[in-house]
Amino acid sequence: MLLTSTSGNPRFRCSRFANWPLRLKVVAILLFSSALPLVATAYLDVQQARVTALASEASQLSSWCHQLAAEFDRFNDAHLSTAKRLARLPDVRSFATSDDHHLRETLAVWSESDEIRGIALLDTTGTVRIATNEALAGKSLASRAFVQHALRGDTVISDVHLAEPEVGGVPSIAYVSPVLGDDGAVLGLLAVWVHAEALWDLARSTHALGRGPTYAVLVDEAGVRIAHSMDPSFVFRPTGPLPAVTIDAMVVDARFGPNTRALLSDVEPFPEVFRRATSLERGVDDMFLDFSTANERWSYGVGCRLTSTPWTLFYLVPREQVEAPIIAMTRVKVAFSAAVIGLALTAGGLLASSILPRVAALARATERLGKGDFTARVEVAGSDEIGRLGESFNAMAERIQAQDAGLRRARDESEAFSYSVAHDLRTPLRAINGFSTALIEDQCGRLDAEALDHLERIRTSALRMGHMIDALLELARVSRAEIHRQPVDLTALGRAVFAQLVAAEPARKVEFVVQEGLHASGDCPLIRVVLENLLGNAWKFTSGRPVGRIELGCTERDGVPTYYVRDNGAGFDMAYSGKLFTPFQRLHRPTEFAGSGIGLATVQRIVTRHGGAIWADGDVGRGATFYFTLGEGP
Amino acid sequence: MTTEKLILLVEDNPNDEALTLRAFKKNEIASEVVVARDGVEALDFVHGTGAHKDRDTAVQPSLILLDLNLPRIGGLEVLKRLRSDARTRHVPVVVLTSSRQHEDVVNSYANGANAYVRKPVDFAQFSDSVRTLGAFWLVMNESPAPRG
Repeated sequence: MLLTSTSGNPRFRCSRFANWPLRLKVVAILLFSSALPLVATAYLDVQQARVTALASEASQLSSWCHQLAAEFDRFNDAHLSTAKRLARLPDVRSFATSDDHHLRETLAVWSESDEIRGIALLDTTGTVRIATNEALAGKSLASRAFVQHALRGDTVISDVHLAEPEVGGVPSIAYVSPVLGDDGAVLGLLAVWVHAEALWDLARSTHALGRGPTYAVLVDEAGVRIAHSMDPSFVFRPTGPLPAVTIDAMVVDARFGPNTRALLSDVEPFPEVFRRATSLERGVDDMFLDFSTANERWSYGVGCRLTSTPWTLFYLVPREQVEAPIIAMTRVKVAFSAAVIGLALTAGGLLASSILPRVAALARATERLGKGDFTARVEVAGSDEIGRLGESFNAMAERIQAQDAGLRRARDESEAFSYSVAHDLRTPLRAINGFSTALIEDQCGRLDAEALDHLERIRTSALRMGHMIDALLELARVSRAEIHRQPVDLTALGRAVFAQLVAAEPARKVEFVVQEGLHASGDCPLIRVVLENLLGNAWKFTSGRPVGRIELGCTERDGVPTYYVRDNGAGFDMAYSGKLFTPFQRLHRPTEFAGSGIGLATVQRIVTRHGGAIWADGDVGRGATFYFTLGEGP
Repeated sequence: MTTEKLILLVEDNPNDEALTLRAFKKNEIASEVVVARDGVEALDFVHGTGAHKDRDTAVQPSLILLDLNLPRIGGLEVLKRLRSDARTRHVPVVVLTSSRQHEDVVNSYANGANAYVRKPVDFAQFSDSVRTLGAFWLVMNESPAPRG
């Protein structure tokens, strides 16, 4: 009880971990000390590897991207310089006066190439004057953006567009150079159409550059794919939604023929690519991660702007490709960590299984010992701390068992002693009493009064000693008796005991006041002994009163039920109250009140053995009150 | 109070013997009283062995007053042997002793005692007890033992 009342907050605070079973604690500590650092290290390693891998991938992609962009620029520059050189031919410069047939043949020689689809000479109105494809002659191309642009005096590389049917009607790029007079005035335009297929071939060659699934996409400044190394079907598909103005302009231009609007509306979003390709002022060199619905994949990419045209080349690699080594490394790390944790747990399990059963055995043995089984021992295995603990436990149990045996022996000896006291000491007393009685009875005629008085004294002394021996035996008995607590009806018990007293001396007038419903928890036969003694004393000490009064009741003191027996008898001097409960100490002369002098000692012993206390309150001539408690019930 | 019946008093203490006989006399119990001073003597008497080998064992006491604390064979053992012999199985045995130990009381009854009386120190009380015993066991009580 004391333990629980003093074990307030500190124990409660640490109870969570402290109350865990040992096995759980071992696992928790092992996980904490092995798993946590491992997982943290593995995480940092993977992050580091990821950063390194991404940086290396970025530089690789960037390198390939610049390489391919340079190829594209060379391709453009080559064709544009063809156009410029042709524009400087004397025949071309004087085409207004030249022989058309001769000039066409000259151009036809230049156009003998797989890539070049046609060469044409336009006048300043944008109308074809001479063309290698004769059907084109006389046709006005003034609506074409690149024509309008070139007429202002610049060399122009057109966007990829669907060329006129007369030039084959295939996706083409026009390289246009103004034909300048000596005064620098624009006399006309020279246009070279190159099949876009050539550009695409170049893009496809990218697979020779990159590993596996890397791919390149060339996007014009409007955000439309114009080359795709992997899947040509994406060409002309915008990477993002184009502004309506741009679409309208391209429709007017008939850039992709009659289907221009439909093609441009069929967006295959690639947001980051679109953003970078269309905002020319932005740097495009840093690596980005983007999702394309075209291949349903996330890809890392690097962009590179061409120098010859405002096109942007993107070099991409699927995310898995980049992350595969990181994922593989993560797997290895996870497997390694799991293995280490498994090892730690196995080791911990081995440690625990070498310790815990022994601790559990100790706990069981301690519990048995605590319950009074003094033969409890543990098997001592090893000489570690637990082994030593086991040895100490066994030594302790050995000592307790020896002490217990000693106590039992002492108790048995005391019982044997009591038996001999009961039997052997009383026998001579019986003879003393018996033969004194015999003398008094048989010789009363021959003995004088003094002799008879002496014999009477011998007889009563023997009797008294017999009572004292009985009382001592009773004291010894209640000291040894086991306490079996049960509910006791004190009211009924008090009445029964009082009835006995009345039966022994029916002539006396004594009023007995007992509180109704008095209940206690105690050993019923021993509580009866208590009442017999206390009520018997009260009965005895009220013998001088015309009407005696004895009360049996209960009050509360400090929340503890306190029973009392009160009388209006002879009382006692409080100065000697300390002697009341000591055996053979009496506060009255034997001639006043008979008694063994052991009754209250017996009562005190019983009350103490119940865990209670007894005390008295009294005054000479005014009666006495005996209070007792019976401790806590089980 | 007169009776022709036989009483066996098993008592090793001569003082107690004298006092018991005095109590019989005082209460005018005229039965023949045989005194056995230890367990062996008591068993010899009832079973016709040893010093009593010529005795007719058909004649058995109407009452045995048995002390527990006896030399040689103790009271409880005597009781056991009395009860295991057909001739004495039904003889009323009153344990008459100084002891009031609970074990003694229980063991006595367990071994077939018919009554257990503690010898009081006060002779007057003792005399009363003897008178009551005589009145009950020798007069009121019907005994299966044949009278010799």
